[in-house]
Amino acid sequence: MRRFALTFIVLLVLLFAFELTPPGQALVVPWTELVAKASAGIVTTFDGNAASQGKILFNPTTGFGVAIEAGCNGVEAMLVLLAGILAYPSPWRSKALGIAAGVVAIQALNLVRIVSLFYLGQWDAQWFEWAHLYVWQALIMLDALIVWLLWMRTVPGPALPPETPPAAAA
Amino acid sequence: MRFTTRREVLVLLGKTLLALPVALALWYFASPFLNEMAAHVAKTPIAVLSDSKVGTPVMRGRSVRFPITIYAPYQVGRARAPATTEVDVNPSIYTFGLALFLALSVAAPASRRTAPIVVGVIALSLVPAWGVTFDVLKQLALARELEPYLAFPTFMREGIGLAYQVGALLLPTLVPVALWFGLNQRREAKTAA
Repeated sequence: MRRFALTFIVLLVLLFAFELTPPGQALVVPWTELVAKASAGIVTTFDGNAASQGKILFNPTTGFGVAIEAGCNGVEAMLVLLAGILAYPSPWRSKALGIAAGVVAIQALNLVRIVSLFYLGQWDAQWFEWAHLYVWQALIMLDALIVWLLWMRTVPGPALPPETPPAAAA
Repeated sequence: MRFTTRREVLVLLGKTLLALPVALALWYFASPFLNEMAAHVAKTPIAVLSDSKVGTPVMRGRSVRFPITIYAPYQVGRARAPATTEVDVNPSIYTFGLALFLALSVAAPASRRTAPIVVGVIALSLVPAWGVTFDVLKQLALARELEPYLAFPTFMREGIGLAYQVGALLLPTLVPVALWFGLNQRREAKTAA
């Protein structure tokens, strides 16, 4: 447990620091733009009143827009999950599957977050702030935790030593 | 804490989702106290790291205002009056993780125990001070008028930036989850031994 915790912290600090560097941002910025584009695509499917420009998702009719900043692109939750999976003793194939499923689960919920905030912001600023700052932050981390717990369940445990046969009676 | 079946994990999720609104409501009512506590704990690190004098934090609704006096570095033959500024921070964005911790603790039968919950609540009353400290320092470091007074070296500016990001993006939600898992894992290991 101690080894896992230490590895997790070291990995997370490294990944998080990398995210903030120019090479990290070269990955994060296009990713965030893609998230904005996907969110606009989802909203458009339902009512056609959304467009994206860079990291901004906006309503062309009302002019209301939300900028997808750090913390809203799901990257931090992905890094936490990545560090959790990499730090946990498990076969590499299992890690790869867990990371792939985790990315999908976190980004899917993150799209729900952005779309819901987009609508919430147009409805009521106070509810938007409450959901944005507190509720969705907690839900995204809960998502990462649940994915990790589900993944951990699939990891094969340590092999137990074979049962020793009872000593033959002399 | 290892869940053996998918159902156990999904039940945990369901119960946490049910408990979260109640926990958020509890946190909301406790947040003035939690915010004030985080502000008071943050006062000393702010003063030490910015080499300034920090007055008693003043609560203004959900935000807190820090009155700060910064003395100019000593220069031979040049005396400069100290700079005074006020920095506003919303500590709620750093304290809300307590709700997630309480919801998780109530949701899992194994973690419905007083001692770990008390330890977690105490820890989560102190950890937000990190976010508040580096939020204030970030605002000070970004104020152009204060540059001649603070003279933060580049590595310190970078450090403040990183610590602020950690405090804002990771700690508020990661610490409650890690505490919930760690405190109960420890107990499980002890029970197994």
